[in-house]
Amino acid sequence: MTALLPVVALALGLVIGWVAFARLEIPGELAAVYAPYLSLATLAGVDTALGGIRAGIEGRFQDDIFVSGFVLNTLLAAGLAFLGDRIGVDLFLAAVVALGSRVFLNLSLIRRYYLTKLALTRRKEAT
Amino acid sequence: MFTSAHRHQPWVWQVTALCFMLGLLLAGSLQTVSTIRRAGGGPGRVGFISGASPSLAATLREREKEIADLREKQTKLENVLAEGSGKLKALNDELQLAKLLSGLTEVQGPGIVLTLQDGKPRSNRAFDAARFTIHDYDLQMVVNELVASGAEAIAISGQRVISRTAIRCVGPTIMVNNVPVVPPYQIVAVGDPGTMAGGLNMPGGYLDDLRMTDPSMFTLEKRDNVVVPAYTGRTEVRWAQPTPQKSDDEKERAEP
Repeated sequence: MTALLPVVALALGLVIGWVAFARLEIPGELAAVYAPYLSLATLAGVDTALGGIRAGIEGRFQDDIFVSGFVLNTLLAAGLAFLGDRIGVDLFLAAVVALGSRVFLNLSLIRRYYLTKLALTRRKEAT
Repeated sequence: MFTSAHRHQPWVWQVTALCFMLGLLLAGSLQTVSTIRRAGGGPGRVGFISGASPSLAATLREREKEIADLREKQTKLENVLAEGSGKLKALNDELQLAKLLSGLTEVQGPGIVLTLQDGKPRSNRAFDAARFTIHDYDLQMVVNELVASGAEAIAISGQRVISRTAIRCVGPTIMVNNVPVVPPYQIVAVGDPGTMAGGLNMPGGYLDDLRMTDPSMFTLEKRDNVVVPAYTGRTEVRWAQPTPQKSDDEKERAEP
């Protein structure tokens, strides 16, 4: 049952965040400026969450790596986006590609783990 | 394979905490994007909106008003100067007519007001969104139709359409006389209201087409009196020169 906890937390965060941001009533121009940064932070969050799950099921989970990874990845991505804005190159794409490919890699490993587990239990039931 | 118990922590709880934060971030992102959509339509416009300086726009409007005022004053002076003398009056009448034709004076008269705005696409597909957007060529078609229907003065969102007017699309905005205009586009034309409305409403014509797409994209009003503002852009002439005047004799020889 504990495996469902992250999903529940995600839904809860979505609801609370939605209400809170709607309350803030941010003007459109300001929203346009920070939108790429927020999206990058979200992507870094997705990457870290999936990385954490992967590390967890591989039994290599370390909380310091988990937290520092999230913070540093977010800062680096935001820094790249900022620098890109200044020098006129869409540098944030580098962060999007790097984080995005890791999301897919982690997801594939998690999928593999659960499929292997499923196959093993099936074989056990068969014998 | 998955059993090395290397500093094993209750990782599910930490991932749960992060997922909660992720939810907050995600909600923020979604809200932000919808805020931007509401403010200026489509993420593609973001750079342009944040890049345009509000104070610069205010300065531009101020200068335009100044130009309009100065030109009005000039007209008044010309009229005063022409008083009394018959020759000067004839010249001035000609001058004022030329200025009216070239769009340098504010004019009024019976006419129509056509307001165009972007419709609400029924789906999120880009193709659909383009169909429900007013483009530069929409305005071009309307102006074309109005001129063909005998409009004598036309303005788009306060920009007078003159012989040197370009209506074009620059990125996400439409520029008229090199000034960006934003929806809803208000097109004011002086002319015979019935003829102009008829021209626009012609079967298979522009408004017919628009009506089939989304009738809420336009409103057309006939009015007894509309005011079309004067052109406030530059009037510098750098290249064009009148051709040297030929005598009647030469003209006859030139045309066999």
